[in-house]
Amino acid sequence: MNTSAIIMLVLVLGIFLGGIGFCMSRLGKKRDDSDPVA
Amino acid sequence: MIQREQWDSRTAFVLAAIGSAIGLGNIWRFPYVCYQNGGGAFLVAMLVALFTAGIPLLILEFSLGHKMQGAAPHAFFKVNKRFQWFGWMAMLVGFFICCYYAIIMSYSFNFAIASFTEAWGDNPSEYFYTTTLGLTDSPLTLGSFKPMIFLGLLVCWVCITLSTWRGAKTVSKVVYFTVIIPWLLLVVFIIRGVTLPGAVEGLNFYLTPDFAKLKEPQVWLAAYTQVFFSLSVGFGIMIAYGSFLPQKTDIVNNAFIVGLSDTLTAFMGGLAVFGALGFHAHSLGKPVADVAAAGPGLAFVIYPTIISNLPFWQPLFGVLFFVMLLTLGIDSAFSMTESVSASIKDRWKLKHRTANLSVGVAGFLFGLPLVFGAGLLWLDIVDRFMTQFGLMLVCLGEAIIIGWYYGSGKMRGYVNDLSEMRINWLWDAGVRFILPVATVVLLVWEIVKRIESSYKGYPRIAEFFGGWLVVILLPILGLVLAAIKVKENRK
Repeated sequence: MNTSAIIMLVLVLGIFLGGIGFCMSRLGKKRDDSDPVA
Repeated sequence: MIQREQWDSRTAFVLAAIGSAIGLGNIWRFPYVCYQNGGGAFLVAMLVALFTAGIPLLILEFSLGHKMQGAAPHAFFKVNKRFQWFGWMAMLVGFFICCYYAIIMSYSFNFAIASFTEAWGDNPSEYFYTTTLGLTDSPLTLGSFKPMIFLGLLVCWVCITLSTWRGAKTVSKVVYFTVIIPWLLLVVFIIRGVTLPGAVEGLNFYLTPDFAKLKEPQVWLAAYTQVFFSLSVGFGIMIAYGSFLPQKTDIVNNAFIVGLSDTLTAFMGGLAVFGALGFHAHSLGKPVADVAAAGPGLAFVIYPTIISNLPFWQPLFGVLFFVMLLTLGIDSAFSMTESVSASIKDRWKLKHRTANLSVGVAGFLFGLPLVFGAGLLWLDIVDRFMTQFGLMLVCLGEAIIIGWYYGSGKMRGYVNDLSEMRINWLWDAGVRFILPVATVVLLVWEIVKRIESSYKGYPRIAEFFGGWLVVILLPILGLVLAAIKVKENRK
């Protein structure tokens, strides 16, 4: 594969996997931690 | 007031929303649209579209459904009763898309059967276009009735209707199967696709951005519509899904997970398809750009190529793959029918099953004209107009109604009260300015192009009946459905 294609592959996978990982790690935080009723 | 159904769990909602978003849009539509629009350049445009329009709209639809506690017509009615017709229009866009979506699922059904014997032999293109479809050379030549496509359509609608038989509760169970299994199979296909001889050429075409292509408005129009189609925004689906969410939920986080997972799936599917396109080009000694017809049939030519080149168990993987396409289609389709039946149920206070059955029968009947030889050509026209006009108009309308009339600040406050991840003025800017400007520019560009020449040179009369007329009917039918309600209220 050429260099541009490799950069694109790494960039796109980084954005998606990083983004999903970050969101998953925050899932439900506020509701569990700060909701006085719960 | 009717007690609304809710998801079994937050995981069920996230999976259902991902399941709705991940569908044929990723595995069937994305590869050919990307191929048609230059590969790498399209990927860049799609990423921009995802963050400037797709995810902001997803947040908007989830929050609208959650706040108003109803499907699209009810939600827009609660914003202002004059906008109820618009909610119906959004729902109708989803319904019409679902009608031709079921035909693609029927093709998958037929290919699942064909996989037992690898019936396509060494020429999947010939098998798909001639044997399976009996494709004619013009939409005006109807061609022969295809009983197997008819049977597939019937089976699909039965599956769709049964999947939503008990509402959100059934969906909660079904999604564990229809989201996780397809992903596992996709991984197998990616591994095979990228290891085929010549796959590198296809991957270079897919991943190398040709920035000159980004000057072409067509690439941007295709990217925005692909994002809307793929994320199921502008169909009214996510508004209905948002209404089933528990009172306490993190809307922003959910929207990001759904948006990113969906686009990641399309991207991964692209790796498999473009790897196989590279292999195809390598075998024929042609450039990747010229190797296959870039149209709705691409998936049914390229995936069988991968299957035939698997080192072992080709029939098993063939059956699994096309059953996967079928299940992906079903979970997207049942989200569309669920949205329609939720609207009908909210409006006429019908039983869930009555509403569901009515939608299933209507969807089946509307799909019948596509079971003839010219079906794929009509599907191509309807898909073009429903996505480039129908979806664009609904997304534009949502941005204007919520961004300007209801107030993006008010909706943002509601979202931030619920969410751990907060949105700021950038979301307001996206909804109030970027989205309306982008959609208006792209709509005007598409109208000018269609006035200059018909889509793919199809006869004008076919373009009128399959495209313009359907688009014109959307607001009219929306107004009619909204008007029925006004009359009943007066009684």
